[in-house]
Amino acid sequence: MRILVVFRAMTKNWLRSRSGLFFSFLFPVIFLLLFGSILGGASKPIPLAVQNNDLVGGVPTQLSQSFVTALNSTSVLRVNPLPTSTNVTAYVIGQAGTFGGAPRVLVIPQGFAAGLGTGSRVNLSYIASASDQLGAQVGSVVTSYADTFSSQLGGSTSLIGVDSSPSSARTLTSVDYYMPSILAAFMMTNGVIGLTSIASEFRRNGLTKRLSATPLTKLEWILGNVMSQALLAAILAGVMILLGIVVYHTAVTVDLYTLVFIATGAILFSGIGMTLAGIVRDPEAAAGLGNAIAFPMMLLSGTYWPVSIMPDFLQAVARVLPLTYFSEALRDSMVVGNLSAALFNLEVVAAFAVGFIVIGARVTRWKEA
Amino acid sequence: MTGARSVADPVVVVEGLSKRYGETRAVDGVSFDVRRGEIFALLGPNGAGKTTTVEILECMRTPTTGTVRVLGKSVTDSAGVDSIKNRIGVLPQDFSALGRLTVGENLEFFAGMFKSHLEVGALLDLLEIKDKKDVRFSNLSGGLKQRVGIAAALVNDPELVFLDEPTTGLDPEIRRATWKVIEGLRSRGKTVILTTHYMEEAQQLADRIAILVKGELAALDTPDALLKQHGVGREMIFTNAEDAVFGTLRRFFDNVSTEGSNVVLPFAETRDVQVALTALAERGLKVDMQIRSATIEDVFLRLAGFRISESGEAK
Ligand SMILES: Nc1ncnc2c1ncn2[C@@H]1O[C@H](COP(=O)(O)OP(=O)(O)OP(=O)(O)O)[C@@H](O)[C@H]1O
Ligand SMILES: [Mg+2]
Repeated sequence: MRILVVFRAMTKNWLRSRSGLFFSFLFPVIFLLLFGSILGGASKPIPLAVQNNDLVGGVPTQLSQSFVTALNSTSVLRVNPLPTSTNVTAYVIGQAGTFGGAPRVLVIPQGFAAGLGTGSRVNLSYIASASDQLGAQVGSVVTSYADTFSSQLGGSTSLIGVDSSPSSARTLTSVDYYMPSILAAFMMTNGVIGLTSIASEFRRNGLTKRLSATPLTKLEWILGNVMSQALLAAILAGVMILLGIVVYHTAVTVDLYTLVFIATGAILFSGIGMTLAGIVRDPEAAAGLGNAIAFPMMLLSGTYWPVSIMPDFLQAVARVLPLTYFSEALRDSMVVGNLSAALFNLEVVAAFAVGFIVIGARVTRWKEA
Repeated sequence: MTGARSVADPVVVVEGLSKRYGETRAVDGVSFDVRRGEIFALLGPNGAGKTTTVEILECMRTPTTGTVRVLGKSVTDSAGVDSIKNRIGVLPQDFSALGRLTVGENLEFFAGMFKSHLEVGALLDLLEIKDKKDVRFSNLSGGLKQRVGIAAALVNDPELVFLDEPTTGLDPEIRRATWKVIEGLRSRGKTVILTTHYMEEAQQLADRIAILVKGELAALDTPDALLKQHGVGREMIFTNAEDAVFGTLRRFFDNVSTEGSNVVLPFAETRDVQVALTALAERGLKVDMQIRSATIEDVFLRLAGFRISESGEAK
């Protein structure tokens, strides 16, 4: 198989390139470590939503209010009041899917003050996501404050109970969020910058021309390169996932779908690389164009911040960038666990991939004019 | 394909070949045959259309007009192209391989393009580069890179080998070593089409030389025949000769001339040398005399009206 011959040679040639290795593997790893340490290690007060249902005439009771104030006065928690009208279950699910949204909700029941006043036990309910590493911690903080509060009331420490009910909604930590999108972004740069400069260099130094004088076909050449890129992407994914798990304890799902996603992305970005290399004759200009496309795409496609926080017109731009969909597809499948959303994004990525491979094949010149 | 191939069977038949790039006529109405087993040289300065011509034969460019048959197949017919590509070997101008792969790995790579191919070890032996097998291509000297390029052109044991400027930029010693390799191809029964702007190379290697000037074929024949037809014969050159030398020779020969401090006397018969030297000796004139045979360079000058510099420019 000539495709395999091309695949092997291209892979070897790349793996022996120090700068190739640096930009393909080491640079992304450094990036993830940097991001992780900037965003992962911060010790800010942890947000906790509190829904106070202990109302008398629409106003919170004195006792329930002072309990909330006591919770908030600690430097550990930051209390966000949640209106009584909010459906807690829906809120938890809604929050879980957003970046940085780690829903932890404490519900104070109606009759809190009245119950404590008669010396009977009242139960608070605490809901946190099972995958939220801080969830259990916050739960125990709440419990210990409840104990302190009830003993200060002069009673026993067991007057206020806290019922924890773990939610199955997954939450995203910052590394959870960044790992797939940094992986996606670097797969993109490997294709759009890396493959573009390699393929156009091969055209300049005549290797492509030399190969066109053999029975090798243009399609075999392109597919061999795509396969090589797919392998590099898989290695990069392996490194990033391992790093996420070992260093940041990210809970990533790696299954057959992950492989399909990685392969589809690799095809897409190789297609873009082949297209650019085919259009621009000069390797320096091709690499320049690759950079000029890759960096804005990286910034606008939700790699470093969610697309939803950008101004509307930039969100509109993000919606036409393939990386946006690929990033979301990876995040949905690897960390959020929302396979149907991931599959929708995959379809978009696959459509882009087919389009660029076809264009790439058209603009790659196998025969001189 | 018809009958058994004989030596007279043309391997390449080119008729009325033209190639235009917009207004540029890179190749203009060229016709020639290449015979099985010969080394055929396309000789011309930079921009003469050598690469354009061979790349059309290699099925890598499309002719504007004319017909080209290589190994019995048309280069514009896609089924023919597949068959041709399997049976030819190509050393492009400025050959380059995968820089970070070794010589051996590169040859395996090129070999992998063909269903049947020679053993890489045998190729390394043939080109005497066995000791370079594990050296990365990018670390080779220009001469060795070119040798790897020739090895790559031979992986499929082709009947017809194209060498586009195989020795350009190599120093003279390495150039001569490459000539030996090319002569070795002929002795292995290969047909070789090579392009060059070195007169000496064409004269040394080629069975027949096609002189290409501005896209047109100025002459095509064996080196001997070219010299006979267009050659200026031989010349006696008297270096640093005193004026009396010219005066003396002038009495016997009309065509004597001066070139700086040299006196130049073209001649046809060996007897003329005797006459000239006797006449000079009788007058007690001491001379330093060399005989210069006509070369392809003289033929080229006569046909093209200019010489070619070392770098291939017309001058
Ligand atoms: N792709 C192209 N587009 C336009 N013009 C071209 C192209 N290729 C070659 N030419 C022109 O055609 C002419 C012949 O070029 P060609 O490369 O065949 O010459 P050559 O004899 O091989 O020269 P050299 O010694 O420089 O290799 C030149 O004038 C060149 O500029
Ligand atoms: Mg040329």
